[in-house]
This record gives sequence, C-alpha cells and structure tokens, in this order.
Amino acid sequence: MARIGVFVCWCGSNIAETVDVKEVAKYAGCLPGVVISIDNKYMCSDPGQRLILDAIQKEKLTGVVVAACSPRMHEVTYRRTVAQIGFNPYMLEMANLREHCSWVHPDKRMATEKAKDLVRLMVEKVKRNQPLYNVQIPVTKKALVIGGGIAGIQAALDIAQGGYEVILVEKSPSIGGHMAQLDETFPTLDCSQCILTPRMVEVAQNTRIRLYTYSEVEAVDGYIGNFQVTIRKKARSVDIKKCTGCGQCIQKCPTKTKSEFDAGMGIRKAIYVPFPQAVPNKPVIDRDICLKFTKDRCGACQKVCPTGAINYEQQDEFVTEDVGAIICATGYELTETHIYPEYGNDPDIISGLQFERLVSASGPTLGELKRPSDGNAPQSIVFLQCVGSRDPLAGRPYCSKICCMYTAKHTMLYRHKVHNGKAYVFYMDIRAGGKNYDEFVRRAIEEDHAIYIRGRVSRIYRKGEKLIVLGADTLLGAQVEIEADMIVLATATVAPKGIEKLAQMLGVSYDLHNFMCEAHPKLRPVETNSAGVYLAGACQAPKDIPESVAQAGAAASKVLGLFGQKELSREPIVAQVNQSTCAGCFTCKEVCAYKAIEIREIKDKKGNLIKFVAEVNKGKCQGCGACAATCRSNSIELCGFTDSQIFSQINHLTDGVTIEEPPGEVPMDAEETQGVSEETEKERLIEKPALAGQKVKN
Amino acid sequence: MMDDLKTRLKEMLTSGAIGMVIGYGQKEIYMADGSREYRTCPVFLSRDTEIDRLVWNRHCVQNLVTYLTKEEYKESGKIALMVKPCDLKAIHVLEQEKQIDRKRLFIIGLTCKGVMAEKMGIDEGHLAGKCIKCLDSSGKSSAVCTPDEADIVIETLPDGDMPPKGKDISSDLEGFEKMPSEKRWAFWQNQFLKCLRCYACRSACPMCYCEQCICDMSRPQWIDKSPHLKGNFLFHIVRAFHLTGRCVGCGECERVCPMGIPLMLINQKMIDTVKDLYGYESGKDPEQAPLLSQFKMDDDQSFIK
Repeated sequence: MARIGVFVCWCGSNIAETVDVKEVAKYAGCLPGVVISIDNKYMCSDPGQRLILDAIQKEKLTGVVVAACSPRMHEVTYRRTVAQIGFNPYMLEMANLREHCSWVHPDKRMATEKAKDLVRLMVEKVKRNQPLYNVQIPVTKKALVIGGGIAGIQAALDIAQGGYEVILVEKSPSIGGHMAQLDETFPTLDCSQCILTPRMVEVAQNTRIRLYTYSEVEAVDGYIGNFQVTIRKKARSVDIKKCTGCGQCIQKCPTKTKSEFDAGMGIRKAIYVPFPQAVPNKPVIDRDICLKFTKDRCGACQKVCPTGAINYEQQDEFVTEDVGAIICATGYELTETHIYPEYGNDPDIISGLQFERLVSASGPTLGELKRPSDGNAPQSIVFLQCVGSRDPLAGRPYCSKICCMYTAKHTMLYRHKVHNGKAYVFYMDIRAGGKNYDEFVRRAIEEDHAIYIRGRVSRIYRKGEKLIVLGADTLLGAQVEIEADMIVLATATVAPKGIEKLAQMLGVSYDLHNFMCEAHPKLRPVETNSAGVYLAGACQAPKDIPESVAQAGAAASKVLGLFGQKELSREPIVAQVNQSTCAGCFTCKEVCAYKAIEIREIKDKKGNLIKFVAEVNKGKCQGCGACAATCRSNSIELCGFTDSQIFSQINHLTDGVTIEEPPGEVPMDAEETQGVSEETEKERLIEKPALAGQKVKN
Repeated sequence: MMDDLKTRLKEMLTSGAIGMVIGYGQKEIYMADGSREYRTCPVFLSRDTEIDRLVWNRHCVQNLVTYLTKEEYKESGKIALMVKPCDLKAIHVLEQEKQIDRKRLFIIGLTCKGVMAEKMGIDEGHLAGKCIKCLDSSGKSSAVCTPDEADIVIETLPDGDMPPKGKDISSDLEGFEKMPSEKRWAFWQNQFLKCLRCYACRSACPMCYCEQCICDMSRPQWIDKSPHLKGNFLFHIVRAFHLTGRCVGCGECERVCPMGIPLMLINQKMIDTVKDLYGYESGKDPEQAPLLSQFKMDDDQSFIK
C-alpha cells in the first residue's frame, strides 16, 4: 500500500502569494494514499529538507511529492537529500507550483485549484513509480581534441598533463592555427609566434599526445565514455617517417600558388611546409596544383629527395580510435574582404589577417610594410571596423569581438613601422572590456596618435595612387573624405565553412551562424547537449586568445573530471523494451537519434532463433522517448515516465469524471477504492476539501 | 503456364525445397439452401497431391501476404506464395519492417487484369475498387511482377472479359470531402456505431502483425474493448495512424468487414495525404526507409504552427 508524503513549498512569496499553500497541503492530505502533507516556507532549505527526511523515516513513506519549483531547479537537490537515508531517489517527484502555476496565473483562487490538480496528478504518478537505479557505464580514458589551434593545443596539453592520452586532429598540415599567423598580440604586444611555438613543440614532444595533422574526423559513433572515432589521414604524398625536413624538394618545386598561411599575401610551392616553425616540420604535396598529379610530369621533388620520402602513390588512410571524451576546438574563419560592393575590390583593401602577415617578420615582406599594389610603404591607412559584423542586413547581427582590439593593435604596429604615417579608424563602438584592454586602446589613441572616427564608411574608390574613403563622422555630424594608401577591413569572424557537418556528427547543436552551442550560456559554457563533447575556443563564438586558452583549460578540466571517475553513473531515465511483445519492426531503431537501439536475438533452450527484438543500450539512450512514441505495439516505455504513470495522471486530471481503471491498474491503495462505485468515487473526490483537517499533520 | 507451375511446385514440395504453397484454390461450399457451390478462396497446400487445386481467376481477390506473418506459417519452411502485382507492395513493406525473410519466400508473380469485388452481397460482379486505379482502359495493369522480384512469373491472364467497374474509391473520397464537417462527423458516428469489434479488419490486414495489439492491452487499457462508439472511434483512429505510410491499399479490411464499414475511405485518405505531403508511396521499394522514421530537409512543415 502506498504511503505518500506531500511537501508543499511557499518559495517565500513566490508561490505563497498566488497559491493558498495551506489549502493545497490540507487538500493533499486527504488524497487517497497520502499519509502526511506539510507546507514550509522554503522546502529547499536545510530545515525543509529535514522535514522530508523525518517524515520518510517516521511515516515509512513509499513515495514523496515535493510541490515546489521546477524540477529543473531542485529535483536533484531533493533526490540527493532522500538518497542520503537510503530512500530510492526516483520515488520522489516534483509538482511544479511555481513556473507552471504561481508565476503564470494572477487569480489566487484558480491558481490554488490548479495547484491542487498538479499535486493530485503527481501523487497518482508517484504511486506507480518504481525504484530506479543509476546506470553505470565504463569510460575509455583517452580524449580526442579536434582542431590544433591555440585552444586545441592548450586543451591537449592540459589533459596530457593530467595523465591521460590525447589524440589531436588537425586538418591542415601543421598545428598552430590562426595564432601562428599573428604578428604581435594585444594587449601586451608580445610576439605571437614566440609564445605559441614552445607550446607547439611541447605537443610534438609529449608522449601522451598523438598528433594527426592533415587529417579530418570522418565519423563519430558511440556515446560519452565510449566514442568510436574514424579519422581520415589525408594522403600527404610524403613519408613522414623517412622525411628529414631538409627542404630540398621545396626548393626544386616549380609550381607556385598563393600561400594560405600568408592569407594570400605571399606564395608557396606545390610541395610546402606552411611556415618555418610548423609542427610537424614535414612537407605536404598540394595535389590540386602539383604537376605530377595534374599533368603527370615533373617529379622533381622525388628526384632530389635524399631519403626517398616522396610517395605519389600514397592513399588516404582511415584509423579508428576509441575515446571517452571529445573537445571540439575548430576555431573560426574571416569573411572575404569584398563583402560590401560599395567598398570595391581593390588590391590595397586587405583584411586584418592579411595585415598581420604584411607586418610580420616571418611574413612575405619580412616585416617591411609594403602595400600590395605597388610595394610602397603606405603613408596613411584607414582601418574599418565591423565589416560584415553587427550588420543584420548582411545576416550577421553579432559582434566579432576581437576586431576592436586588433585594430587598435594594428594602428600601433603601423606607427611603429611608419613613424609619421597616419592611422584612421572608423568604428561603431569601441568594445575594449578586458584586463588592460581599454588602456591599450587609449594608448593607441594617445601615444600612437591613431585617429578614431565614430561612423561608417559609405564608399571607397580609387583616385590615381590613392584610395578615397567617404564616410560619416557621427560625433561631428559631418561627412568626411580621407585619402588613404591602404585600407584594412576588420572583416567578420565566422564559423568555418562546412562545420555543421562535424557538429551533426558530434550531435552538437549550432546556432543560426553555425557557431556551436553550449549546454547553458552561463552555467555550462563548455559542455554541449551531447554528453561527453565539450567546446573550446572560437568554434562557439568569436573569442580572443586569452579567452580561448581559458576555455580550453576549462574543457580539459571537464574531461579530467570525467576521466577521474571509475565508471560513469547516469540517471536511469532510459527506454526499456518489453521483449515479449516486441514485434521486431525496428522502427524504433530508425528513429533513434542516439543509435541506442540494438538488435537482440531471442533463442529457445536449444539455441534455435525464435525472433529478433529491440534492445536499448542504456549508455547511449538519452531518454528522449522517440522510440516509445513510435512503437505501434507500445512495447517501449521510458523508465520514470511509464505508460501507466502517464495514463493514471491523465485519468485523474478529469477529477472524478470517470475513473476507469482496469483490474491490473488499481493503485496500491486498492483497499480504499475497492467496491466504491463510480458514483460514490465521484462524490468522494469532489467532497475532499470538506474532509480537510483530519489527516493533515501540520 | 499454370500447368508448368503446378509441375514445378509439385517437384519443389517433394524435394523439400518448399514446405507449403499458399495460393488460390477451389473449395466446395455448402450453401444455406443445401446446394453446393465452388468458391475461390485461399488454400494452404503442403502435399504435392493437392497442388492441382490451385487456380488463377477473377475471384482471386484476397491478399495472401497477410498469412506470411501469422504464427502458424512461421514453422512451415520456405513458402511459395501467389502474389498479384498489387500484393507485392505489401511484401515490400513487410521487408522494410524486417518481418519477412525474402529467402524463406518463393514468389509466384501473377499477371493481372483486375479482380472482382467479392464482398458479401455488395458490388459482386464488379471490378474491385483497388483495381480501378491500377488498370488502364485496355484492361492492362500498371503494376507488374517483374522477374527480378518474383521467382517465377505467370504471364497468362485469367479468362473472361473485364467486369464492369464498381465504385471508385477516389470519387467516393472526393464526394465525402465535400461534405461539411458536422455531416462527416455524423457519417462516421453512424458507421462506427455498427462496428462489432470483431477485429476481422485487423486479422485480414497484412500490416497488423504485432504480437500484442495495443487494442488488447489492459495495463493500461488505452482503448475501451466493448463495442460502443467511444472505443470504436478510438480503435479505428489508432488503426488509421498505425497504417499511415504503411497501408498499400489492398482493401482487405473493408472487404472482410461484416458490417460494411467503408474503411478504405480512411486508408485512401491517408495514402493520398502521405503522397501529397512527402511524395511517399508505401511498398514501392523494400529499400526505402519507412515514412515515419525519415526526414528530409525540404519536407513540408506548413502544418507545424
């Protein structure tokens, strides 16, 4: 027989103001099966929780209903509380009197009536609850980090430091990412490569990190603690074991193209190492332009290679790795420079990243600032911020975040190269929140004399040697016209093309702009809705280096936390198949987004196959219920939300109108209701409040 | 052609290559007035001496695919089955839903030019409703059993002229849809009031293969079991939903209904809706994913509000 305790919370005035909590508690006390009903100002407080524990022990409760806030809020609290004294936590349910009632209804009388309904339904549900036990799943203590930029590098190093193996996958020939392309970094102006390359070398030297460069994640299978990842190692055409990195092949290669690393400002060969400090420092052949592959001639690299490392026959290789956690650190891209037609497509209009390469000592001009059209040092540069970002019409209403700071940095770098040059900045707002950030911008304006103009640019056109910039100075309320030698656009930061495919593979949701979504914007910023998959860096939203590094560390700590556990324990709200009625149509298997349905053979004692049925892999199941909804013979149920629980709730919602229960479905307090005709049952339910007071203990 | 088939089936039965033939055969029926008549009905033959009873004529209206999922025939070894082109679609759906093992099946593909509506007292002597859409003016079926799908194809058409067309389900549906909603409601109330809950529709349906039908469940009891309007409505609505994207329109449910409830009106509507919305035809291809477990990015979503 059910012995249910109901605990009604005031939530201060949050619930009590709109719901007569005393009346609700009285009413609940008269419900069949309820043996104690108490109200308290804050049920989640220590004394409140003690009330529940005491009641469970004194009244020998079989089920508990806490009528308070949303279960999203405190269900975990209460379940943990009751678990302390050995009470099965899944015999406790919450009736949501706050979000579903007091906060949304103005009328106290009606809200109180609804609160009674909510409590009554939950009491009916709890009567049919079954004790559930957490699902234990093993963990493969090896992590996969996707993306070898600063975020990926940091995450990989931190996990390796924690003592676990890491697989780092990078799609380009070298790790380093965008940070390797930068000249100096704000707000300290320290050399980007000088602080990055030691980290890159550390990755290469760390025995716990296995590096897959020029590789991509092809498929992801499995679930938290037990992922199977297929990695495509693209054919490098160079045997990385034989290659010594001498570079003779690069010297002899006759085919040239624009260098991606130099953002198109410099050139590279068809066989190339992206930059001198690349890790691994082994070349790769670009098969799209190499003459051997396009026209089947040349072969110079193979002829000069002293170790015979060049292998034109190499094929893409697929490797499968078992990992327990995945960190996605796939970074960002910049939009094209000619996204606004009114700005034209002049060679002297470049992006911020191209500017970085032009001023970098390792860049195509060896650090001498030359404008692309004629190679002269520009005497004046106009920097335009928010090109493509904060622009709803261009489809990107968001702020690219890093441009305010790097533009200020660019003006400084420029003035340090061309001492009497003039740097103009068109800005919408200066967003310099961050440690020493605003000071940095002030320094650009006050010490390096950058001229900041608040306004947008309407048009750019060429007039002889010069580019004419027409814009508005909204602070002066005047139109301005500036003659410039070069223009640098702070183009929008966007998610890499095609990244949604990876997101779909990982089961991570992404926003309108294809940035990946965190599980909660404030409280779970590095987790995703896909358990065991974490985010680091600009794949989530535009981020600068300090933020990316911090998030990478946070993601790594989540992974270390996961790996620190012997086994994973997860809540048992999973689907369950009644294999005796399962017809084996496997529609459930088709609809399962988590690939949690497996095929099981049912055999007789002699080992003859009787039939195939569906079976739920509890590790993979996320409890979404799609299978339960799709099963025609109702052979699948969701633990904690079984048909009989939901069915009795629906039945009791009609409040005594007709409660038809089949014999098997008589609640545990059957003695009370047995023999009661439909008519008297109806009366009894309606009259309940009048009986109030008899059973109420508070 | 039939003779060749019979010889072959006899051989296969004797050699044990097949365990049973499910086909159409003649059966002597005692009528109420004491007279005897020969009727065409499904026959289940497991001895070679019985094979001569097989016929292929205008009265072979039943969809024999239904029997494949029945418990009784699961132990019969390989089954040779007489299949009209339209019935082949049901085989495809069952294959899609992993209910039959094609290797356990020897398909005798029939070439059809329409069968007669064999409903008790109604429409007898007319072409079955399901054939009207399938046949063109010259009496050629648009559906054919190809040698790819059938293990043997019988190319002889049954004798006799084309029977006159009976009622056309499409025009029925059109007329029905023109009725105002109150009238349609009243129509179905009248129809479902008749339902005896004999579940003949369920038994005849090739898609109703669940070991335990949701209608028989008692914990919890989703659907009232007694034959009154409330439970009857629910039963038929649940059946319609369970057949969405699966019904191949064989019309067996309507044919076997002793109360003459026009069930194909519901099924045809669902078939049309599914085709209009998703371009999906059930049973077209055993390889296609079941309708309700797939989605395309360009699926119609206008009904989501």
